[in-house]
Amino acid sequence: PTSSERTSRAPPMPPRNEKSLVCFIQALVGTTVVIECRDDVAVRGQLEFCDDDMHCTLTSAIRVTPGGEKTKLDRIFIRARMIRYVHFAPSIDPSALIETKRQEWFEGSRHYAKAAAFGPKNEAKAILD
Amino acid sequence: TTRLEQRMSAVEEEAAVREPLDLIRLALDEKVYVKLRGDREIRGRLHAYDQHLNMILGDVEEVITSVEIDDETYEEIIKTTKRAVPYLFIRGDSVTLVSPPLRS
Repeated sequence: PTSSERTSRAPPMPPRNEKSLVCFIQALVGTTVVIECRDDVAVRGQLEFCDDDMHCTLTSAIRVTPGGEKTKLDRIFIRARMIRYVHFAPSIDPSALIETKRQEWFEGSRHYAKAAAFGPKNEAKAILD
Repeated sequence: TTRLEQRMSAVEEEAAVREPLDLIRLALDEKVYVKLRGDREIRGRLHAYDQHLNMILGDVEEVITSVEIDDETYEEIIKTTKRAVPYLFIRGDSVTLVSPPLRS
């Protein structure tokens, strides 16, 4: 809705992922993580995608069973409920990363909303808003 | 009410302990003891948590307890495995207990 259509100045609801720490896992997308599952299977790989329920896909993954058996996998999907731990690089500062990603997501959604409201041709109008 | 009184009551509202999760909020940035399903115990510094009890802990020590029964003597051997991790994200559905730090 454009600013003229908004009648009630209700505060915008935060996106669903910001209501829990799943936003931290989503912020780790693109980095290498080790997901330890509830059946003691560990998978190390690059986190490709994480949805709001914490279901994850990893690429270039190595799956290690508790017996020590290793399997190389191009892509693996892990159900959210199967996750016990998510190991990440100790160089990452969780609060700083969440803040940075939150800004990016907000800017992205704002840019998208502007383009949707004003259209790609009316960029001048969007900048003035 | 003056603006100062309003601000003071707002700060009091934020610090109020109303529900059990608020007790975990008081333990932020302190060492906590967490019990997980599967006879696992974790001690670490609580950096973040949410309503599902997903947590981010730092300077973590994990202790896994397992009981083995000797084939010959049939006695129970309690074995513990320890692991130290600098940073850990725990999914909340494994968490059974969160204990605030011991005050020494």
